[in-house]
Amino acid sequence: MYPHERSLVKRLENKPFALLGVNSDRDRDELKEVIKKEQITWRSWWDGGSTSGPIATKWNVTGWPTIYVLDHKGVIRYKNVRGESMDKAVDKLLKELEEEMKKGKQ
Amino acid sequence: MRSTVFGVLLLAFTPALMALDDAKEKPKTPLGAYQELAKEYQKAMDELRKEFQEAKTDEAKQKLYEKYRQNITTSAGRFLELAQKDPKDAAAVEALVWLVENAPASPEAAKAVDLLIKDHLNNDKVKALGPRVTYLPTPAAEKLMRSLLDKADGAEAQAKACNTLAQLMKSKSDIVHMIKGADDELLKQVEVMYGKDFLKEIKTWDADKAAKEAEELFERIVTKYAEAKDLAAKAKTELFELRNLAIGRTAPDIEGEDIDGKKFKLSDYRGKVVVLDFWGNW
Repeated sequence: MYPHERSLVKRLENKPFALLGVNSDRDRDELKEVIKKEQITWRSWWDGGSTSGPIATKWNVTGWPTIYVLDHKGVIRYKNVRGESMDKAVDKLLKELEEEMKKGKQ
Repeated sequence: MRSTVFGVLLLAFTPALMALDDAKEKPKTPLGAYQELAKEYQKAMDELRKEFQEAKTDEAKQKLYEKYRQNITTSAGRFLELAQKDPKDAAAVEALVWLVENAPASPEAAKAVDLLIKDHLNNDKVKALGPRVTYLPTPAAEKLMRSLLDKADGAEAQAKACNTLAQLMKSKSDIVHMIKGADDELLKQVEVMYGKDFLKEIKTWDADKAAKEAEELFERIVTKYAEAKDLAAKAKTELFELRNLAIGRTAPDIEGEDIDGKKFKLSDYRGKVVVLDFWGNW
């Protein structure tokens, strides 16, 4: 998972895009090591040190990883897309955003 | 990556046959015959699972999906045949339950459900089937759960069926979205794993209608079966998800601390496309 996410973040570093995590690890220090080692540059919420933390519970997450893709208005557009389909979904939403900005300028 | 998703699906098929090892071999009794069939099936699946983990190319995996389905299809015929010999026998219940659990998309499972509804609806094994059929929303599982919801003895069994039916409806809605966005490769995989007819069936489903029914059923658990406390609590979370976390809804805000203890909010990222990833390094 990490290499794919890393390349997605790298590819879109100059675009209006963000990868955000909700992390369910138990040990914060161990996690910091992993983040360093795996070069995880994206930001994550610390969900209280378990898979049943407040955010995951509220969002009814029962499988990991669970993925939501939101557009620039904060609307949920895709769920549980992975790999190539995740990239495609993001690209589609970025295109939508670009077109909307073009229209706004006219 | 896609094959990994289905790989996980394949690995997830671990039918509840753990107790079989202590079963004494009595091939002449119907129960013994059932156990032998189940064991044989399990052995073939274990081998397939192993081969799948070792498979390197997509072609090899594709072949394994086909073998996987073949094993289900062949076994389904045998289990139904066994059940039909003496549909009221205890071995028949086992075989019919096996069909609904392991081959729910098969024509045999549709027949199994009819037999279960007719003679065994209040059998404990049928009532306990719920959580094991939610992995794939099939007409067979749906029909059985509707019957249980209407006719099972006792509020507890009805509440459980209500929950299972709601889960099936929820996953029905999810699958419609998944299939809509699927490319040919994924469609082909679904077809290989579950059959052409099942893929056709999925294409007739209405995502919004299914999601709406899921909502009504979870609501019913909260109002009508409130004494089933765990189910009612779970139903409330499900309702939150259906109402606020469905495709097309504005995501609820997330506020919290990052790994370094700094506060931040999801709404800080308005104006950007966001991938929200619930992850863990475990």
